[in-house]
Amino acid sequence: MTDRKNILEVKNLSTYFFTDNGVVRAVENLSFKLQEGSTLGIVGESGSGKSVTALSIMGLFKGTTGRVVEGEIIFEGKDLLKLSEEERRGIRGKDISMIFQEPMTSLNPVLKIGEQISEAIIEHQNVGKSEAMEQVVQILKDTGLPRVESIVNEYPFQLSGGQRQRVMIAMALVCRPKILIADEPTTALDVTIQAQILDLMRRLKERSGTSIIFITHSLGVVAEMCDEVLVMYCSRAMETGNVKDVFKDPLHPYTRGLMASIPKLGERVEELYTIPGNVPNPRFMPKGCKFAPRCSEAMDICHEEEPPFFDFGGGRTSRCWLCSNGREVK
Amino acid sequence: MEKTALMNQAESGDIRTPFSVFWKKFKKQKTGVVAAVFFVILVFVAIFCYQLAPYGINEYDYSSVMQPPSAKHWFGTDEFGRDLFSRVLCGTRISLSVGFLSVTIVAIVGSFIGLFSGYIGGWFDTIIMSLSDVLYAFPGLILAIAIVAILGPGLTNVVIAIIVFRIPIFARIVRGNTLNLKNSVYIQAARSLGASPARILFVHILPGALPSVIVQYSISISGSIMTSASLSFLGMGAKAPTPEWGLLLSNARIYIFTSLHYAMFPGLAIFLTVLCFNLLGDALRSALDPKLSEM
Amino acid sequence: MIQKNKSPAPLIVKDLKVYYPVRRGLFGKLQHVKALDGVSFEIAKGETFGVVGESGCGKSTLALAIAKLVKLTSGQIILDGEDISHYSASQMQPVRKKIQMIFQDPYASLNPRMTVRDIVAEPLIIHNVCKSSKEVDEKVIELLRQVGLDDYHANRYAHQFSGGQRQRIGIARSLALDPILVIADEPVSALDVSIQSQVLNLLSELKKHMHLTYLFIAHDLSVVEHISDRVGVMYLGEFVEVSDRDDLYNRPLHPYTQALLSAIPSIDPEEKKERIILEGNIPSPINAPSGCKFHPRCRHCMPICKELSPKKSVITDKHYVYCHLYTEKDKKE
Repeated sequence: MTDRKNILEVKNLSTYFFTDNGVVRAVENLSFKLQEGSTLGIVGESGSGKSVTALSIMGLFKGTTGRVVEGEIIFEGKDLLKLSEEERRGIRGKDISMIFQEPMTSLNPVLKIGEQISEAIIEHQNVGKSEAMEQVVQILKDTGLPRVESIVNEYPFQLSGGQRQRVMIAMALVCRPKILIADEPTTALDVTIQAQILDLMRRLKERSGTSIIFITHSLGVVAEMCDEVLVMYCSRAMETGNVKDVFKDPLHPYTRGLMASIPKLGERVEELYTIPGNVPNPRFMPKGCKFAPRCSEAMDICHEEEPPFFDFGGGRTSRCWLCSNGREVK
Repeated sequence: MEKTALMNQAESGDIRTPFSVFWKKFKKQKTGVVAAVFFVILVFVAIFCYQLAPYGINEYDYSSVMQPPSAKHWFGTDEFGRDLFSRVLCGTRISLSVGFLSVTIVAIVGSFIGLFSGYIGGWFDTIIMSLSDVLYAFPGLILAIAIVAILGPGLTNVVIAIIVFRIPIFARIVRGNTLNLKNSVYIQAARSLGASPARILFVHILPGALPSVIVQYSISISGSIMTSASLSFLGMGAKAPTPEWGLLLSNARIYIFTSLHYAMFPGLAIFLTVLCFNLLGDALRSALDPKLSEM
Repeated sequence: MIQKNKSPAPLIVKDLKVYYPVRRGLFGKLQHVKALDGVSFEIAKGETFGVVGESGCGKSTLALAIAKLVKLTSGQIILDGEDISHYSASQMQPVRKKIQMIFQDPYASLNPRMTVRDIVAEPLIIHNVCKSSKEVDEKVIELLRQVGLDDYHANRYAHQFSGGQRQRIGIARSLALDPILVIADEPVSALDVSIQSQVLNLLSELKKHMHLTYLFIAHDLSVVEHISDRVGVMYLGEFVEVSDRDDLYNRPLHPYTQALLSAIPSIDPEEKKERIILEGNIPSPINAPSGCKFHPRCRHCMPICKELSPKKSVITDKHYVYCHLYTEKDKKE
């Protein structure tokens, strides 16, 4: 596990939004590594900063008040944050590409499917139009879409949600990226269609060896798709580790709470476990551990001082005072 | 449920009413605040113009006609030696009265037409909106001239003309809002509770349409002041010796090359007042953004 | 769970159909979206009847139809012994007290220009059940406490609350008139994971204390399993399988139910279950497939499935399924 190369390393990343009503700290001091050929799941509730993490890696803050204020994002030995916009555009879509939650709004409604996908090929690969179109047809076939030859001449609104997501995946994979960031790719889809898309992503990954960052709020999807997991809460990482280890023996009370509070198939209980209270408003962040006010195991220190990461080896870390038997990460 | 954990806006102490949210946003707009201050001054002047005016508006003084501005007559005097400052000051009341009266009536009538047209829909909506399209297709001022030509000159008829040609504007805005709100989930929720159409219209839809009506109200006042001044300028509105701004301009027209002040001050008054209501309208539009849910 | 008494079932639905007319283009052929195409079921007092299905299966139309918020094409709705299928808007007015709804989107379902007090008091005022405004206030406070909110929340505006709290406000409003039936349309699907379980527990708790009857509509099978006594699985405007909860989840019979259950990702990464991945997409309800509507995606599809729509096969008195696989078996037995 550890002998694999890290294809992407994020170190102490902080991304803030500078709004009229003050600074919103969307990502705070986040570090993680993505190993070559593996899938990293980032789970968290809405507003936990998981999507902003993706945007920070992609560098997609144009037209927003967001800015990476600190940290490094190292891809193939280069810090992406030190590159010019020009250089980043060369990486975006070619080496690192992204698929979004809502396939309808991320596809251009007035461009035919074929033109849309071939655009990326022509941009990055220096090939002719007909050659690009051949590649498009091939990749769409790989995604399991039916009647590909006619779909390339159709517009996004003529496709169903699941088909659009397949088109998005094709578009993201067409330049054979080294990293694919999938931001809630199945959230807007029905259960049976979600199963199709997850199955597709798994097959494509096995074949191409692309490393994937899979952002989702669903623990089930993480368990099914990912090798490593990063649990986010209030803009911070709370726990990281191998999926099997984390799901079998979660170290952080937040992870434990999340796992306990979702209803599971075949498990019938009178009452579900609940994490009390609400996610704190970014304006009224608690002083110590951000989870302490909702934590059933909180101690005095938790309300006073924010815990550091405690490392348990093999990528397992937890930001919780209860885990202080681990090695502290400076 | 643990109280300690409930750390969000609802717990943060302040009750944020729609008004407080509006005020917070409005305060940030400097031009809007300046316009609002000027608006307050205008209203004050309109109310107390006769007390504030140093001379009577029809106080003739043939010994000092067409005087340029001086310490005695701040804006100078006109062809009958009347104090122009007093006349412009008192013109405020006329212009604001015409503006407020006509726009208040048109806002109420137009909003109701829009509300019912949007809510009832069907052929009723089609007929109302076709009529309003026909009315809307006429250039506003020409329509107003035509109406005044039929009814005869005079300020009352100017008010009626303004009302008629501005009805479609309000009706369309409120109808658009009604159509949007009609299908919103909270209207559906109210309907599922058994709310009567009257309750849905007046408790749920109308307050939702109100922000756009308020913005249009402010902008329409500037428009109607312009229309009233234009009609008076053309001799179809106020009659002499009323110190209506448009009429003053019209009288000043022949002296424009000899006594610029005569035309300048009424013109400036119209310009500033119209600008004030337009800026106010813009500021209201930004502050009354329908999205109340800003963080 | 189910109380045996003489009072009629809160809800009986018989062969309910809701078709929406659609015209493609100005002179296009008039077609019908068959949102509900013959749905029958009943809910006993104190029971939670869960309805699951994917988007476009008609589950939300079912909620709106029972609340008489859409026009029925045919069929009967009998609410508390009273046939309301042909009621006019004014006849519905007193009946609305008995059916209340909880909506999916807690942001859209509360009027942003009203205080929490006004929102929760709205049903009380509409139906004029309180003698004075003081009584309204007292009742509002009582309701807010019941759903886990505080007294001082009453004079705040809905936009100041988080999703979970808003959903509590919506629940308080739906309980104000002591309804006979509460229709909850995806009440937790817009909420965060850690908030979902709070709201689900609240709904169970309220049901116990106030002896409520729920029609619970959701797309999430595990949520439905948790909350329901009986479950109906819908596909393209029809039920494909209806059963009591335990039987449905332990022994799903319809191939669609089986596929749905197997498609849910498990949070146990070690668990390798056999996954049935359905081919293709959900067909449009405008031109639904002939015969059994599920046949183009079904892995057990037989020739008969393409021609004849299956009849109800009664497996036990509580478990029935609409599938030719079981009509065949019935004949053999």
